[in-house]
Amino acid sequence: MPAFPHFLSGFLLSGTALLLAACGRQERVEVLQTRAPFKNEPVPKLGLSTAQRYAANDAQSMLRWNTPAGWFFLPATEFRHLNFSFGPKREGEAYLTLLPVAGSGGMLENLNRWRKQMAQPPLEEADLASLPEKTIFGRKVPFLDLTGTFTGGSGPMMAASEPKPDYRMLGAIFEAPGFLFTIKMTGPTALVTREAANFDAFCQSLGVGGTPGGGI
Amino acid sequence: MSAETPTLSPPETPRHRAGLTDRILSIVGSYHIAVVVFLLMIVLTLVGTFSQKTIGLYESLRIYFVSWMVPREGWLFGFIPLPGMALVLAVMFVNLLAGGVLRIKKNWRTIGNVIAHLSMLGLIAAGAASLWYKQEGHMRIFEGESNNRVSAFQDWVLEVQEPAGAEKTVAVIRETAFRTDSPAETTTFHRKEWPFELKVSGYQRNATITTTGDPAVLTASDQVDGYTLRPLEPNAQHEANMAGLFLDVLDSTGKSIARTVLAQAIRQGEIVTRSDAPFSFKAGERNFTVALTRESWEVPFSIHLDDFIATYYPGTRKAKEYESNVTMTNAAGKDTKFRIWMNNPLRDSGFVAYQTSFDDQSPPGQEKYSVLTVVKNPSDQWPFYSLIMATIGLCITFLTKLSRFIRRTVATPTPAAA
Repeated sequence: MPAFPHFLSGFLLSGTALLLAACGRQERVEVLQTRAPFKNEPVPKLGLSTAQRYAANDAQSMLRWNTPAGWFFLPATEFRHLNFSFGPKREGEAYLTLLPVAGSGGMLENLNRWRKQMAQPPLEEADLASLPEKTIFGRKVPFLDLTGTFTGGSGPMMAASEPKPDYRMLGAIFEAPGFLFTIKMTGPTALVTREAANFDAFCQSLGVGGTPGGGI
Repeated sequence: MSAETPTLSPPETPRHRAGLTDRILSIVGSYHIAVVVFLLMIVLTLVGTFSQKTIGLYESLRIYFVSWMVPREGWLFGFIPLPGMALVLAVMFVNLLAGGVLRIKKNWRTIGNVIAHLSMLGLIAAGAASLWYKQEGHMRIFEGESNNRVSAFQDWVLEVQEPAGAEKTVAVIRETAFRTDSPAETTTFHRKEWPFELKVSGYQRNATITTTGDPAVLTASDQVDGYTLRPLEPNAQHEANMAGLFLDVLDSTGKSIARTVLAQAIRQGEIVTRSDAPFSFKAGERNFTVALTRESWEVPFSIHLDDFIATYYPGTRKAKEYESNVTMTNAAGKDTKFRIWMNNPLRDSGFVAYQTSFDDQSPPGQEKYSVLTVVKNPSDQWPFYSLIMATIGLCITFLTKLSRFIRRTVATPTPAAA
């Protein structure tokens, strides 16, 4: 029997290694590993929405909504619990804030703050009844539609901004048990006019717990 | 010239067969293979050690030291494939067994060598047993509470269960099965008890859930209900990485019937939270849940933290010593009191629980907690025994050589003085 050249042994080893390197990862795998449920392991909750699972605040965990097509769902901030932007340069803003009634300033004070942002005179309590209404969360709430120069804060930190002429603001402020809801949209008049139907659809989609549009 | 006579092959004899076996052993156990193995070990050790600086210990172990083949990202200079240390050690095991134990002449002169080689085989076997069977994780116990559950430091798993189903077990898919080199790669999982398949895509080693409008993910191509993954730079400390992925539930035709994005870390602007709430879906009339979580398991005893004590260096909050006074209840219900502190672990049922961390800075009203690292390694003591064997083997070899040297010296006549 001819002698096997020993120096080839190392090359054989390397060759085997290279062949094994060609082996790829499995793309379809049967799951065989299991474990028994742990003692006192809680039963997983069923039916949680994505928003409820990944809520950054109480509003996101409580509410259901539909994000209109073309809107950007922005990260929440301290005072914008549902936060969106829209428009070609994201210059339009829409957000929902949920505050405990105590310390929120109340409905009229907040409405007048918004009116001031659009250089509009304040309303009296008696004027609230004359405002147009929308149905949100299954209840009739006063609705604001203002046009003018916007001087309110914008951006994630609500920083005061330069006066913005030819702006439009749509919004609703109302109290529900324990909470003051504010829903607001601002942006250039043409853009807001184009997105008004989307804002309306967003307001209609708002619900609590179950499917969108539920009442509170 | 004599007439040519036909030559016949000699009949195969036991001696012939032994010669063939010996030849095979001489090839498998050759010094040439040993040299290649040692060279590869040097290369892998150097590359793996240097790589720790950039990719961290866990990734270095995964790529170079526990792999059969080094994955592409770890190839030498980017284009030279390397065998993983597991393969190199397996070859070394066979080489040592063949050359250093089976083939070596066995007599009183070589017995030391044989023992030393056996000890090296023991060390390699200990490493293999540890690689395959070692369990390591941490147990967090609040003061006044008990725990018997251990969570892995690093390994993420997908846990699939049917809360109201007949099958009470939880199916576990380990990260090694769904981990991909590129988010574009997918892996599909099936199980005979499932009326669906699960397709994992977009895997990220380190990521947070965010909203699709997050300026950091403007290019996000995938989203679920306005949420997407924001990839983050993998942390060199692997335990700090939070895996993320997209998951599709496929019906029998391969059509997606439910979809979600999974990760435990959530970041919305400055708001950072964690959630292990499971994704739930219906397959026919059956409800299933999937959670992306750290792998966890139960130990056959529970530990109750009676008291946690930490002492600090004067004027600092740097811990000088800390200890956990615990009551361990074993599977038979018997209680035993232990003090776990530095280098004094609790040992039971093959598990070892070390004191590794704590938190006693909790606000008033919240309990302090102690963190124990819990390890089960069937080969825990094998290296110790192997090294004792190596010491004995090398001592025998040394004494044998010394004895031969002395005998030769004595036997050689010294030249007479002039």
